[in-house]
Amino acid sequence: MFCLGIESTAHTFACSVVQYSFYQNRLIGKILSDARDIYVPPTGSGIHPRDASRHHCKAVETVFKHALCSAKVSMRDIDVIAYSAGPGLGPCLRVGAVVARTLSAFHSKPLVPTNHGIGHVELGIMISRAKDPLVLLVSGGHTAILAFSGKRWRIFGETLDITLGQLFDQFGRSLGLPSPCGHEIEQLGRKAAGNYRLLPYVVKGNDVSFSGLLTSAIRSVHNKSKELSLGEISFSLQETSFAMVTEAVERALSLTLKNEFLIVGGVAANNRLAEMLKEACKRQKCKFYRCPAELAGDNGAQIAWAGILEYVGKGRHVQVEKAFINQSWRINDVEVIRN
Amino acid sequence: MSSIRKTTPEISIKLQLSFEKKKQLYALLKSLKPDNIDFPSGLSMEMLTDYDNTLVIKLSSKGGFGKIINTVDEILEHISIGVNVIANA
Repeated sequence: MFCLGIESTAHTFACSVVQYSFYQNRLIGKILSDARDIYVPPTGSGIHPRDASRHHCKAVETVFKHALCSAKVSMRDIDVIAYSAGPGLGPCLRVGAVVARTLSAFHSKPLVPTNHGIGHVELGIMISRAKDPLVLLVSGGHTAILAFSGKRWRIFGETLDITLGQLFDQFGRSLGLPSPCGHEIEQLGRKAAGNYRLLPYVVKGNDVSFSGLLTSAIRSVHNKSKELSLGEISFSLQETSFAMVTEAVERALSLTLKNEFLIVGGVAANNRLAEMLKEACKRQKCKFYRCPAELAGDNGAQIAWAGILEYVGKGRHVQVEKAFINQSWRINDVEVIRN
Repeated sequence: MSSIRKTTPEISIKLQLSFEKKKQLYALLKSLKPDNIDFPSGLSMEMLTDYDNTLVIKLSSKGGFGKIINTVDEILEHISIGVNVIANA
């Protein structure tokens, strides 16, 4: 059985075919293809929703064809179509939804709207084979600590303002770096490793706040006396924000007594963050899992797998005319049947 | 000196798209309809089918040119990607 997953929440337009079957009463998935095209905003700018959606429109044909070809399937072989229905940027979400609805209506295939955040989490669980982890979802759109309880991913802690991905992107853009900036900042910080300068550190209970940290880091860059080098600021920005997240995660591990931890989302690709979280897991005698870098960013496989869980696990699909998008669809609004 | 009040005209646009096959037309119509919600004030839209495999889209705007230009632009973009994915599947 095959599911076509379509992702278009922000800068990535992606399609993926995931094969699914049952093995020893357990639903298992295999990623057969993972095609994507990423919108790159002009250097120094963020994502303009309409420009990103225009990019997606242009990318649809190539990405869709590539996903089917590399999976060696045709639309006739596809059993179910899943698309990211939110949260995300309206014009971008509509492109993926139109592709999914058209294919579903034309080929009479079941259609499943999926939550983008659930996709990150569930794909990470499928790959890692973790059973009941505490999850850290960190990306441009999310910074949340999640624990599964009562058929939902409950938010144990989250950002009170901007996300970790936005912190790095907005800081990077102020330096004139191209978005996404996380990797460049990691490289800059590595050059000044060890030269830590104090920046605002805000943890409130299990929540974190990055906006004061961002303002302070940008001010340090533009400070005329140039007391700090770019490398020192980048290093300190990373250390401070990652320590904040690690503190919240460690407290959540200690409170929930979970013995597994999983990090997912685009920022999971950052090695320094992974290193700090690994140390926290060691202290809490907890297994550490990390979504592989190639599937940490937005992709179609996460949507296909979330769609499979929804369709096979709950038997849910929607009529094409009722296939919605929801720009601010919270992860804890979704009822999840665990595999 | 008399002042000239800036007024914007009421704009109506009718788009007609003819398809070879009824199946293609209905797939696109079904696909476009769910997004026809939450229009900005002054903008209205109606989508219907004609007897000869034609999709008819009627738009009207009382709120200036910007909204209607952007809406037509996005609708045509969506129709174009719908046509493309059907052709490439």
